[in-house]
Amino acid sequence: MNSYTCWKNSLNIYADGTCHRSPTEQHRTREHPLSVGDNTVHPGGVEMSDTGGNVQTHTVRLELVDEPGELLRALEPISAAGGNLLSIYHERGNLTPRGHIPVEVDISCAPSRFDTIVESLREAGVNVIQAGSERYDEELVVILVGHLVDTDLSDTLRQIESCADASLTDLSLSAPRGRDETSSARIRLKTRSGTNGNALSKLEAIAEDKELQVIQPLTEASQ
Amino acid sequence: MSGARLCVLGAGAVGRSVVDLAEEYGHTVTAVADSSSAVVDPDGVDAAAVLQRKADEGVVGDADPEEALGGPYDVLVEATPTTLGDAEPGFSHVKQGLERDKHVVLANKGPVAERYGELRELEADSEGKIRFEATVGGAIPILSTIEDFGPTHITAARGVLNGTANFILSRMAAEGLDYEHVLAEAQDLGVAEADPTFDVEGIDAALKFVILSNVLADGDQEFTLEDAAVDGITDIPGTALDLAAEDGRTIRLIGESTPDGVSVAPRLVPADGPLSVTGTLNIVQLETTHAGRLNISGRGAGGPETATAVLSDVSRLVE
Repeated sequence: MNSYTCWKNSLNIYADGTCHRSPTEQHRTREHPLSVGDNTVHPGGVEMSDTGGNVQTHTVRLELVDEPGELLRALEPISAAGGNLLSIYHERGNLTPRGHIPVEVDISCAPSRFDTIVESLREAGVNVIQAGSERYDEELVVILVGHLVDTDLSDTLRQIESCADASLTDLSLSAPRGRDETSSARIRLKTRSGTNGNALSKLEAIAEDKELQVIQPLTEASQ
Repeated sequence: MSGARLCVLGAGAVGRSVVDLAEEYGHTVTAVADSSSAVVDPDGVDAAAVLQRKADEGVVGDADPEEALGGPYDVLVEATPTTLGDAEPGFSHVKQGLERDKHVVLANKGPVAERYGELRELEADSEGKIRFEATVGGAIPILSTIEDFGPTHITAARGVLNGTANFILSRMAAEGLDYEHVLAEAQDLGVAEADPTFDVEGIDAALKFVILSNVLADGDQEFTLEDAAVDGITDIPGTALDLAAEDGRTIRLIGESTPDGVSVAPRLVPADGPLSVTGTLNIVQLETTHAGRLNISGRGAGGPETATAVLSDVSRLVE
Protein backbone atom coordinates (compact mmCIF):
# COMPACT_ATOMS: atom_id res chain seq x y z
CA MET A 1 0.00 0.00 0.00
CA ASN A 2 2.83 2.40 0.68
CA SER A 3 3.44 3.17 -2.94
CA TYR A 4 -0.07 4.57 -3.30
CA THR A 5 -0.35 6.75 -0.28
CA CYS A 6 0.32 9.93 -2.19
CA TRP A 7 -2.39 9.82 -4.75
CA LYS A 8 -1.76 13.27 -6.13
CA ASN A 9 1.72 12.26 -7.23
CA SER A 10 0.45 9.36 -9.21
CA LEU A 11 -2.14 11.62 -10.75
CA ASN A 12 0.67 13.79 -12.05
CA ILE A 13 2.15 10.77 -13.74
CA TYR A 14 -1.02 10.37 -15.73
CA ALA A 15 -1.10 14.04 -16.48
CA ASP A 16 2.19 14.10 -18.33
CA GLY A 17 0.58 12.84 -21.48
CA THR A 18 1.36 9.13 -21.31
CA CYS A 19 -2.20 8.43 -20.38
CA HIS A 20 -4.60 11.04 -21.63
CA ARG A 21 -7.44 11.93 -19.43
CA SER A 22 -10.55 13.07 -21.24
CA PRO A 23 -12.76 15.46 -19.34
CA THR A 24 -15.78 14.64 -21.45
CA GLU A 25 -15.36 10.99 -20.64
CA GLN A 26 -15.26 11.86 -17.00
CA HIS A 27 -18.37 13.87 -17.47
CA ARG A 28 -20.23 10.92 -18.91
CA THR A 29 -19.17 8.76 -16.04
CA ARG A 30 -20.46 11.35 -13.63
CA GLU A 31 -23.73 11.67 -15.41
CA HIS A 32 -24.52 7.99 -15.04
CA PRO A 33 -23.57 7.03 -11.55
CA LEU A 34 -24.36 3.52 -10.51
CA SER A 35 -25.60 4.82 -7.23
CA VAL A 36 -29.03 5.91 -8.37
CA GLY A 37 -32.09 4.44 -6.79
CA ASP A 38 -33.18 2.48 -3.78
CA ASN A 39 -30.32 0.01 -3.85
CA THR A 40 -28.20 2.64 -2.15
CA VAL A 41 -30.31 2.79 0.96
CA HIS A 42 -28.70 0.98 3.79
CA PRO A 43 -30.65 -1.41 6.02
CA GLY A 44 -31.03 1.12 8.77
CA GLY A 45 -33.08 3.50 6.64
CA VAL A 46 -32.55 6.50 4.44
CA GLU A 47 -29.58 8.77 5.08
CA MET A 48 -30.05 11.83 7.23
CA SER A 49 -33.43 10.71 8.50
CA ASP A 50 -32.21 8.41 11.24
CA THR A 51 -28.75 9.65 12.01
CA GLY A 52 -29.54 13.35 11.91
CA GLY A 53 -26.57 15.68 11.65
CA ASN A 54 -24.03 12.90 12.06
CA VAL A 55 -24.07 11.89 8.43
CA GLN A 56 -20.99 13.05 6.55
CA THR A 57 -19.67 12.65 3.07
CA HIS A 58 -16.61 10.46 2.73
CA THR A 59 -14.52 9.75 -0.31
CA VAL A 60 -12.90 6.39 -0.88
CA ARG A 61 -10.44 5.74 -3.65
CA LEU A 62 -10.21 2.20 -4.86
CA GLU A 63 -8.39 0.47 -7.64
CA LEU A 64 -10.08 -2.24 -9.61
CA VAL A 65 -8.95 -4.85 -12.08
CA ASP A 66 -10.57 -4.14 -15.43
CA GLU A 67 -12.82 -7.20 -15.47
CA PRO A 68 -16.60 -7.55 -15.64
CA GLY A 69 -18.28 -7.53 -12.28
CA GLU A 70 -15.38 -5.93 -10.43
CA LEU A 71 -17.14 -2.62 -9.86
CA LEU A 72 -20.26 -4.27 -8.53
CA ARG A 73 -18.18 -6.52 -6.29
CA ALA A 74 -16.51 -3.44 -4.84
CA LEU A 75 -19.74 -1.60 -4.22
CA GLU A 76 -21.67 -4.36 -2.52
CA PRO A 77 -19.76 -4.20 0.77
CA ILE A 78 -20.46 -0.49 0.98
CA SER A 79 -24.23 -0.73 0.92
CA ALA A 80 -24.12 -3.93 2.94
CA ALA A 81 -22.26 -2.05 5.66
CA GLY A 82 -24.77 0.78 5.70
CA GLY A 83 -23.11 3.37 3.48
CA ASN A 84 -25.21 5.46 1.14
CA LEU A 85 -23.55 5.73 -2.26
CA LEU A 86 -23.60 9.28 -3.53
CA SER A 87 -21.52 8.98 -6.65
CA ILE A 88 -19.05 6.72 -8.37
CA TYR A 89 -16.31 8.12 -10.48
CA HIS A 90 -14.87 5.34 -12.62
CA GLU A 91 -11.78 6.90 -14.18
CA ARG A 92 -11.69 4.79 -17.29
CA GLY A 93 -9.05 6.86 -19.03
CA ASN A 94 -6.59 6.38 -16.20
CA LEU A 95 -4.51 3.59 -14.76
CA THR A 96 -2.95 3.38 -11.34
CA PRO A 97 0.78 2.64 -11.22
CA ARG A 98 -0.19 -1.00 -10.70
CA GLY A 99 -2.11 -0.93 -13.99
CA HIS A 100 -5.56 -0.97 -12.45
CA ILE A 101 -8.45 1.43 -12.89
CA PRO A 102 -8.94 4.08 -10.21
CA VAL A 103 -12.41 4.54 -8.85
CA GLU A 104 -13.52 7.32 -6.55
CA VAL A 105 -16.59 6.62 -4.49
CA ASP A 106 -18.47 9.18 -2.44
CA ILE A 107 -20.36 7.74 0.47
CA SER A 108 -22.54 9.37 3.06
CA CYS A 109 -22.73 7.69 6.43
CA ALA A 110 -22.12 8.33 10.07
CA PRO A 111 -18.39 8.63 10.83
CA SER A 112 -18.54 5.60 13.11
CA ARG A 113 -19.87 3.51 10.26
CA PHE A 114 -17.21 4.63 7.84
CA ASP A 115 -14.46 2.53 9.42
CA THR A 116 -16.68 -0.53 9.15
CA ILE A 117 -17.21 0.15 5.47
CA VAL A 118 -13.50 0.46 4.73
CA GLU A 119 -12.85 -2.67 6.77
CA SER A 120 -15.44 -4.66 4.87
CA LEU A 121 -14.07 -3.46 1.55
CA ARG A 122 -10.64 -4.71 2.48
CA GLU A 123 -12.08 -7.96 3.74
CA ALA A 124 -13.75 -8.40 0.37
CA GLY A 125 -10.33 -8.09 -1.26
CA VAL A 126 -10.85 -4.60 -2.69
CA ASN A 127 -7.70 -2.50 -2.79
CA VAL A 128 -8.48 0.73 -0.96
CA ILE A 129 -5.95 3.37 -1.96
CA GLN A 130 -7.24 6.07 0.23
CA ALA A 131 -10.11 6.38 2.63
CA GLY A 132 -11.57 9.51 4.04
CA SER A 133 -8.35 11.34 4.75
CA GLU A 134 -8.57 13.29 1.53
CA ARG A 135 -12.19 14.07 1.07
CA TYR A 136 -13.37 15.86 -2.02
CA ASP A 137 -16.75 16.79 -0.66
CA GLU A 138 -17.18 20.37 -1.75
CA GLU A 139 -18.17 21.54 -5.16
CA LEU A 140 -16.86 24.55 -6.95
CA VAL A 141 -18.22 25.84 -10.24
CA VAL A 142 -16.43 28.57 -12.15
CA ILE A 143 -16.62 29.93 -15.68
CA LEU A 144 -13.43 30.64 -17.57
CA VAL A 145 -13.53 33.27 -20.30
CA GLY A 146 -10.86 34.01 -22.87
CA HIS A 147 -8.89 32.37 -25.62
CA LEU A 148 -9.31 28.96 -24.06
CA VAL A 149 -8.41 26.82 -27.03
CA ASP A 150 -5.40 28.88 -28.08
CA THR A 151 -4.03 28.73 -24.55
CA ASP A 152 -4.30 24.91 -24.44
CA LEU A 153 -7.40 24.08 -22.45
CA SER A 154 -6.18 20.56 -21.61
CA ASP A 155 -3.07 22.03 -20.06
CA THR A 156 -5.13 24.57 -18.14
CA LEU A 157 -7.31 21.81 -16.72
CA ARG A 158 -4.31 19.67 -15.82
CA GLN A 159 -2.75 22.58 -13.98
CA ILE A 160 -5.97 23.23 -12.12
CA GLU A 161 -6.21 19.61 -11.03
CA SER A 162 -2.65 19.32 -9.88
CA CYS A 163 -1.95 22.81 -8.48
CA ALA A 164 -5.36 23.73 -7.14
CA ASP A 165 -5.71 20.27 -5.58
CA ALA A 166 -9.11 19.75 -7.09
CA SER A 167 -10.78 17.04 -9.08
CA LEU A 168 -12.46 18.00 -12.33
CA THR A 169 -15.92 16.47 -12.58
CA ASP A 170 -17.56 18.35 -15.39
CA LEU A 171 -16.56 20.53 -18.31
CA SER A 172 -18.77 22.41 -20.70
CA LEU A 173 -17.11 24.43 -23.43
CA SER A 174 -18.71 27.03 -25.63
CA ALA A 175 -16.31 27.63 -28.47
CA PRO A 176 -16.22 30.78 -30.56
CA ARG A 177 -17.56 31.16 -34.03
CA GLY A 178 -14.41 32.87 -35.24
CA ARG A 179 -10.93 32.55 -33.86
CA ASP A 180 -10.90 36.12 -32.60
CA GLU A 181 -13.85 35.67 -30.33
CA THR A 182 -13.41 34.62 -26.77
CA SER A 183 -14.81 31.31 -25.64
CA SER A 184 -16.25 30.25 -22.32
CA ALA A 185 -15.96 27.08 -20.30
CA ARG A 186 -17.86 26.06 -17.22
CA ILE A 187 -15.86 23.75 -15.02
CA ARG A 188 -17.09 21.91 -11.99
CA LEU A 189 -14.50 20.88 -9.45
CA LYS A 190 -14.61 18.81 -6.36
CA THR A 191 -12.41 20.19 -3.65
CA ARG A 192 -11.52 19.10 -0.18
CA SER A 193 -13.62 20.39 2.64
CA GLY A 194 -12.68 23.94 3.56
CA THR A 195 -10.20 24.48 0.73
CA ASN A 196 -12.40 26.27 -1.79
CA GLY A 197 -10.78 29.63 -1.08
CA ASN A 198 -7.33 28.22 -1.62
CA ALA A 199 -8.38 26.40 -4.79
CA LEU A 200 -9.87 29.61 -6.14
CA SER A 201 -6.74 31.66 -5.58
CA LYS A 202 -4.61 29.00 -7.28
CA LEU A 203 -7.08 28.91 -10.12
CA GLU A 204 -6.88 32.70 -10.45
CA ALA A 205 -3.10 32.48 -10.72
CA ILE A 206 -3.26 29.79 -13.39
CA ALA A 207 -5.83 31.82 -15.34
CA GLU A 208 -3.82 35.01 -15.01
CA ASP A 209 -0.82 33.32 -16.60
CA LYS A 210 -2.94 32.59 -19.64
CA GLU A 211 -4.83 35.88 -19.56
CA LEU A 212 -8.10 34.14 -18.87
CA GLN A 213 -10.89 35.65 -16.82
CA VAL A 214 -12.35 33.60 -13.99
CA ILE A 215 -15.97 34.23 -13.09
CA GLN A 216 -16.09 33.03 -9.52
CA PRO A 217 -19.11 31.92 -7.60
CA LEU A 218 -20.01 33.72 -4.45
CA THR A 219 -18.79 31.71 -1.50
CA GLU A 220 -21.17 29.12 -0.17
CA ALA A 221 -21.80 31.10 2.96
CA SER A 222 -23.15 33.94 0.90
CA GLN A 223 -25.79 32.01 -1.02
CA MET B 1 -38.00 72.53 13.47
CA SER B 2 -40.87 71.85 11.13
CA GLY B 3 -39.07 72.18 7.84
CA ALA B 4 -35.58 73.04 6.68
CA ARG B 5 -34.30 75.65 4.29
CA LEU B 6 -32.33 73.92 1.55
CA CYS B 7 -29.48 75.03 -0.65
CA VAL B 8 -29.35 72.60 -3.57
CA LEU B 9 -26.05 72.38 -5.45
CA GLY B 10 -26.26 70.60 -8.76
CA ALA B 11 -29.15 70.69 -11.19
CA GLY B 12 -28.90 67.23 -12.70
CA ALA B 13 -31.65 64.63 -12.39
CA VAL B 14 -31.27 64.35 -8.61
CA GLY B 15 -30.87 68.05 -7.84
CA ARG B 16 -33.89 68.96 -9.98
CA SER B 17 -36.01 66.31 -8.30
CA VAL B 18 -35.02 67.56 -4.86
CA VAL B 19 -36.14 71.07 -5.88
CA ASP B 20 -39.35 69.61 -7.25
CA LEU B 21 -40.22 67.43 -4.24
CA ALA B 22 -38.88 69.48 -1.30
CA GLU B 23 -42.19 71.22 -0.59
CA GLU B 24 -44.01 67.88 -0.43
CA TYR B 25 -41.61 66.88 2.35
CA GLY B 26 -42.23 70.13 4.22
CA HIS B 27 -38.96 71.82 3.31
CA THR B 28 -38.21 75.10 1.56
CA VAL B 29 -35.60 75.52 -1.16
CA THR B 30 -33.89 78.86 -0.60
CA ALA B 31 -31.07 78.45 -3.11
CA VAL B 32 -30.28 76.40 -6.20
CA ALA B 33 -27.03 76.39 -8.12
CA ASP B 34 -25.65 74.57 -11.11
CA SER B 35 -22.10 74.89 -12.43
CA SER B 36 -22.65 78.31 -13.96
CA SER B 37 -25.66 79.98 -12.35
CA ALA B 38 -27.72 80.27 -9.20
CA VAL B 39 -30.96 81.53 -7.76
CA VAL B 40 -31.32 82.66 -4.15
CA ASP B 41 -34.48 83.66 -2.30
CA PRO B 42 -34.62 83.60 1.51
CA ASP B 43 -38.40 83.11 1.31
CA GLY B 44 -38.13 80.14 -1.02
CA VAL B 45 -37.51 79.96 -4.74
CA ASP B 46 -40.30 79.26 -7.19
CA ALA B 47 -39.46 75.61 -7.89
CA ALA B 48 -41.52 75.29 -11.05
CA ALA B 49 -40.05 78.47 -12.54
CA VAL B 50 -36.48 77.43 -11.71
CA LEU B 51 -36.95 73.99 -13.29
CA GLN B 52 -38.57 75.52 -16.35
CA ARG B 53 -35.72 77.96 -16.80
CA LYS B 54 -33.17 75.15 -16.43
CA ALA B 55 -35.01 73.20 -19.15
CA ASP B 56 -35.38 76.18 -21.45
CA GLU B 57 -32.15 78.10 -20.99
CA GLY B 58 -29.82 75.69 -19.23
CA VAL B 59 -29.44 77.99 -16.21
CA VAL B 60 -31.29 78.09 -12.91
CA GLY B 61 -31.13 81.85 -12.35
CA ASP B 62 -29.10 85.05 -12.74
CA ALA B 63 -26.97 84.83 -9.61
CA ASP B 64 -23.43 83.50 -9.26
CA PRO B 65 -23.07 79.93 -7.86
CA GLU B 66 -21.03 81.32 -4.94
CA GLU B 67 -24.04 83.33 -3.79
CA ALA B 68 -26.00 80.14 -3.26
CA LEU B 69 -23.28 78.70 -1.03
CA GLY B 70 -23.16 81.92 0.98
CA GLY B 71 -26.92 82.32 1.16
CA PRO B 72 -29.36 81.51 3.92
CA TYR B 73 -30.01 77.78 4.44
CA ASP B 74 -30.11 75.07 7.13
CA VAL B 75 -29.11 72.07 5.03
CA LEU B 76 -26.77 71.99 2.06
CA VAL B 77 -27.68 69.37 -0.55
CA GLU B 78 -24.57 68.38 -2.53
CA ALA B 79 -25.83 66.83 -5.76
CA THR B 80 -23.11 67.79 -8.22
CA PRO B 81 -21.59 65.08 -10.46
CA THR B 82 -19.38 62.48 -8.78
CA THR B 83 -15.68 63.10 -9.30
CA LEU B 84 -12.78 60.86 -8.30
CA GLY B 85 -9.46 61.61 -6.63
CA ASP B 86 -9.79 64.92 -4.77
CA ALA B 87 -13.58 64.74 -5.28
CA GLU B 88 -13.75 68.42 -6.17
CA PRO B 89 -15.68 70.64 -6.30
CA GLY B 90 -18.02 68.54 -4.18
CA PHE B 91 -15.61 68.22 -1.26
CA SER B 92 -15.12 72.00 -0.98
CA HIS B 93 -18.87 72.54 -1.04
CA VAL B 94 -19.31 70.17 1.88
CA LYS B 95 -16.39 71.82 3.69
CA GLN B 96 -17.91 75.29 3.31
CA GLY B 97 -21.25 74.04 4.59
CA LEU B 98 -19.77 72.36 7.65
CA GLU B 99 -17.55 75.36 8.40
CA ARG B 100 -20.70 77.44 8.51
CA ASP B 101 -22.07 74.88 11.00
CA LYS B 102 -24.71 73.73 8.55
CA HIS B 103 -25.88 70.19 7.92
CA VAL B 104 -24.87 68.63 4.60
CA VAL B 105 -26.68 65.89 2.66
CA LEU B 106 -24.71 64.30 -0.17
CA ALA B 107 -25.95 62.60 -3.30
CA ASN B 108 -22.42 62.94 -4.72
CA LYS B 109 -20.40 59.77 -4.05
CA GLY B 110 -16.97 61.34 -4.59
CA PRO B 111 -16.28 62.97 -1.21
CA VAL B 112 -17.68 60.04 0.80
CA ALA B 113 -15.78 57.42 -1.17
CA GLU B 114 -12.49 59.25 -1.69
CA ARG B 115 -12.09 61.51 1.37
CA TYR B 116 -14.21 59.92 4.08
CA GLY B 117 -11.79 60.53 6.93
CA GLU B 118 -11.43 64.23 6.13
CA LEU B 119 -15.21 64.58 5.90
CA ARG B 120 -15.65 63.06 9.33
CA GLU B 121 -12.95 65.35 10.77
CA LEU B 122 -14.70 68.41 9.34
CA GLU B 123 -17.95 67.12 10.77
CA ALA B 124 -16.39 66.65 14.20
CA ASP B 125 -15.39 70.32 14.25
CA SER B 126 -18.81 71.49 13.13
CA GLU B 127 -22.25 71.92 14.63
CA GLY B 128 -23.51 70.43 11.39
CA LYS B 129 -23.82 66.75 10.50
CA ILE B 130 -23.41 64.91 7.21
CA ARG B 131 -25.72 62.25 5.78
CA PHE B 132 -25.42 60.47 2.44
CA GLU B 133 -28.10 57.80 2.05
CA ALA B 134 -28.56 58.81 -1.60
CA THR B 135 -24.99 57.83 -2.51
CA VAL B 136 -25.65 54.10 -2.03
CA GLY B 137 -28.55 52.41 -3.76
CA GLY B 138 -30.77 55.39 -4.60
CA ALA B 139 -34.13 55.01 -2.93
CA ILE B 140 -33.13 51.91 -0.93
CA PRO B 141 -32.63 52.69 2.77
CA ILE B 142 -29.30 50.91 3.15
CA LEU B 143 -27.24 53.30 5.25
CA SER B 144 -30.12 54.09 7.60
CA THR B 145 -30.64 50.34 8.07
CA ILE B 146 -26.97 49.95 8.96
CA GLU B 147 -27.30 52.92 11.30
CA ASP B 148 -30.32 51.35 12.99
CA PHE B 149 -28.54 48.03 13.48
CA GLY B 150 -25.25 49.70 14.37
CA PRO B 151 -22.23 49.12 12.09
CA THR B 152 -20.72 46.64 14.55
CA HIS B 153 -23.74 44.40 14.12
CA ILE B 154 -23.25 44.14 10.38
CA THR B 155 -20.40 41.82 9.38
CA ALA B 156 -20.59 42.14 5.59
CA ALA B 157 -22.53 43.68 2.75
CA ARG B 158 -22.85 42.43 -0.79
CA GLY B 159 -25.10 42.88 -3.73
CA VAL B 160 -25.96 44.57 -6.98
CA LEU B 161 -25.64 48.36 -6.88
CA ASN B 162 -25.43 49.31 -10.52
CA GLY B 163 -28.64 49.20 -12.49
CA THR B 164 -27.00 49.74 -15.87
CA ALA B 165 -24.66 46.75 -15.59
CA ASN B 166 -27.47 44.65 -14.16
CA PHE B 167 -29.77 45.62 -17.01
CA ILE B 168 -27.13 44.63 -19.55
CA LEU B 169 -26.35 41.28 -17.92
CA SER B 170 -29.98 40.33 -17.42
CA ARG B 171 -30.84 41.29 -21.01
CA MET B 172 -27.86 39.32 -22.33
CA ALA B 173 -29.01 36.28 -20.37
CA ALA B 174 -32.66 36.57 -21.31
CA GLU B 175 -32.21 37.31 -25.00
CA GLY B 176 -28.96 35.51 -25.75
CA LEU B 177 -27.50 38.74 -27.11
CA ASP B 178 -23.94 39.98 -26.96
CA TYR B 179 -22.65 42.82 -24.82
CA GLU B 180 -22.34 45.45 -27.58
CA HIS B 181 -25.86 44.82 -28.81
CA VAL B 182 -27.45 45.13 -25.38
CA LEU B 183 -25.34 48.18 -24.51
CA ALA B 184 -26.65 49.96 -27.61
CA GLU B 185 -30.18 49.04 -26.61
CA ALA B 186 -29.61 50.31 -23.08
CA GLN B 187 -28.30 53.60 -24.47
CA ASP B 188 -31.39 53.95 -26.68
CA LEU B 189 -33.59 53.39 -23.63
CA GLY B 190 -31.65 55.90 -21.55
CA VAL B 191 -30.61 53.17 -19.11
CA ALA B 192 -26.98 53.57 -20.10
CA GLU B 193 -25.22 56.86 -20.63
CA ALA B 194 -23.47 57.77 -23.88
CA ASP B 195 -20.21 57.09 -22.02
CA PRO B 196 -21.07 54.04 -19.92
CA THR B 197 -17.52 53.53 -18.56
CA PHE B 198 -18.34 54.23 -14.91
CA ASP B 199 -21.16 51.71 -14.93
CA VAL B 200 -19.85 48.84 -17.05
CA GLU B 201 -16.30 48.94 -15.68
CA GLY B 202 -17.69 48.53 -12.17
CA ILE B 203 -16.41 51.90 -10.89
CA ASP B 204 -19.81 53.22 -9.87
CA ALA B 205 -20.59 50.03 -7.95
CA ALA B 206 -17.12 50.05 -6.40
CA LEU B 207 -17.61 53.63 -5.09
CA LYS B 208 -20.82 52.51 -3.40
CA PHE B 209 -19.18 49.51 -1.77
CA VAL B 210 -16.24 51.67 -0.69
CA ILE B 211 -18.77 53.95 1.01
CA LEU B 212 -20.41 50.91 2.63
CA SER B 213 -17.02 49.74 3.87
CA ASN B 214 -16.27 53.17 5.29
CA VAL B 215 -19.56 53.13 7.16
CA LEU B 216 -19.14 49.53 8.35
CA ALA B 217 -15.54 50.15 9.49
CA ASP B 218 -16.94 52.94 11.68
CA GLY B 219 -13.69 54.87 11.86
CA ASP B 220 -11.37 51.88 12.40
CA GLN B 221 -10.26 51.87 8.81
CA GLU B 222 -10.67 54.14 5.80
CA PHE B 223 -11.22 52.98 2.24
CA THR B 224 -10.98 54.71 -1.12
CA LEU B 225 -11.53 53.52 -4.67
CA GLU B 226 -7.85 52.57 -4.83
CA ASP B 227 -8.44 49.93 -2.16
CA ALA B 228 -11.11 48.18 -4.21
CA ALA B 229 -10.50 45.26 -6.59
CA VAL B 230 -12.67 46.18 -9.53
CA ASP B 231 -13.62 44.11 -12.54
CA GLY B 232 -16.28 45.12 -15.05
CA ILE B 233 -18.62 43.33 -17.42
CA THR B 234 -17.29 44.47 -20.79
CA ASP B 235 -15.47 41.18 -21.48
CA ILE B 236 -18.33 38.85 -20.62
CA PRO B 237 -19.42 36.98 -23.75
CA GLY B 238 -22.97 35.75 -24.21
CA THR B 239 -21.66 32.18 -24.11
CA ALA B 240 -20.63 32.61 -20.47
CA LEU B 241 -24.20 33.52 -19.55
CA ASP B 242 -25.47 30.53 -21.53
CA LEU B 243 -23.15 28.17 -19.67
CA ALA B 244 -24.22 29.67 -16.36
CA ALA B 245 -27.88 29.26 -17.27
CA GLU B 246 -27.41 25.58 -18.15
CA ASP B 247 -26.28 25.06 -14.59
CA GLY B 248 -29.13 26.98 -12.97
CA ARG B 249 -26.98 30.03 -12.41
CA THR B 250 -26.48 33.44 -13.88
CA ILE B 251 -23.84 36.17 -13.82
CA ARG B 252 -24.27 39.43 -11.95
CA LEU B 253 -21.91 42.30 -11.21
CA ILE B 254 -21.59 41.72 -7.47
CA GLY B 255 -19.89 43.99 -5.00
CA GLU B 256 -18.72 42.93 -1.57
CA SER B 257 -17.75 44.84 1.54
CA THR B 258 -16.13 42.51 4.01
CA PRO B 259 -13.43 42.87 6.66
CA ASP B 260 -11.05 41.60 3.95
CA GLY B 261 -11.75 44.57 1.71
CA VAL B 262 -13.87 45.81 -1.16
CA SER B 263 -14.38 44.00 -4.43
CA VAL B 264 -16.61 44.30 -7.47
CA ALA B 265 -16.62 41.58 -10.12
CA PRO B 266 -18.91 39.51 -12.29
CA ARG B 267 -19.87 36.51 -10.18
CA LEU B 268 -21.86 33.33 -10.58
CA VAL B 269 -25.04 33.40 -8.53
CA PRO B 270 -28.03 31.03 -8.40
CA ALA B 271 -30.50 32.03 -11.12
CA ASP B 272 -33.40 31.91 -8.69
CA GLY B 273 -31.54 33.43 -5.76
CA PRO B 274 -32.14 36.87 -4.24
CA LEU B 275 -29.07 38.42 -5.85
CA SER B 276 -30.16 37.71 -9.41
CA VAL B 277 -32.44 40.74 -9.65
CA THR B 278 -33.35 41.69 -13.20
CA GLY B 279 -33.43 44.95 -15.10
CA THR B 280 -32.26 48.08 -13.33
CA LEU B 281 -33.20 46.86 -9.84
CA ASN B 282 -30.61 46.94 -7.07
CA ILE B 283 -30.26 44.68 -4.06
CA VAL B 284 -28.07 44.65 -0.99
CA GLN B 285 -27.61 41.78 1.43
CA LEU B 286 -26.47 42.64 4.92
CA GLU B 287 -25.05 39.94 7.17
CA THR B 288 -26.03 40.72 10.72
CA THR B 289 -24.57 39.32 13.91
CA HIS B 290 -27.84 38.32 15.56
CA ALA B 291 -30.51 38.53 12.91
CA GLY B 292 -29.20 36.52 9.97
CA ARG B 293 -29.32 38.02 6.53
CA LEU B 294 -31.27 41.03 5.37
CA ASN B 295 -32.15 41.49 1.71
CA ILE B 296 -33.10 45.01 0.74
CA SER B 297 -34.10 45.59 -2.84
CA GLY B 298 -35.46 48.47 -4.87
CA ARG B 299 -34.70 51.21 -7.33
CA GLY B 300 -31.08 52.21 -7.10
CA ALA B 301 -31.08 55.18 -9.43
CA GLY B 302 -33.26 57.85 -11.00
CA GLY B 303 -34.00 61.47 -10.11
CA PRO B 304 -37.16 61.20 -7.97
CA GLU B 305 -36.01 57.88 -6.43
CA THR B 306 -32.69 59.29 -5.29
CA ALA B 307 -34.30 62.58 -4.24
CA THR B 308 -36.48 60.66 -1.76
CA ALA B 309 -33.29 59.44 -0.07
CA VAL B 310 -31.93 63.00 0.03
CA LEU B 311 -35.14 64.40 1.50
CA SER B 312 -35.36 61.60 4.10
CA ASP B 313 -31.85 62.52 5.20
CA VAL B 314 -32.86 66.18 5.44
CA SER B 315 -35.86 65.25 7.57
CA ARG B 316 -33.71 63.14 9.92
CA LEU B 317 -31.25 66.01 10.36
CA VAL B 318 -33.79 68.63 11.33
CA GLU B 319 -36.22 66.48 13.32
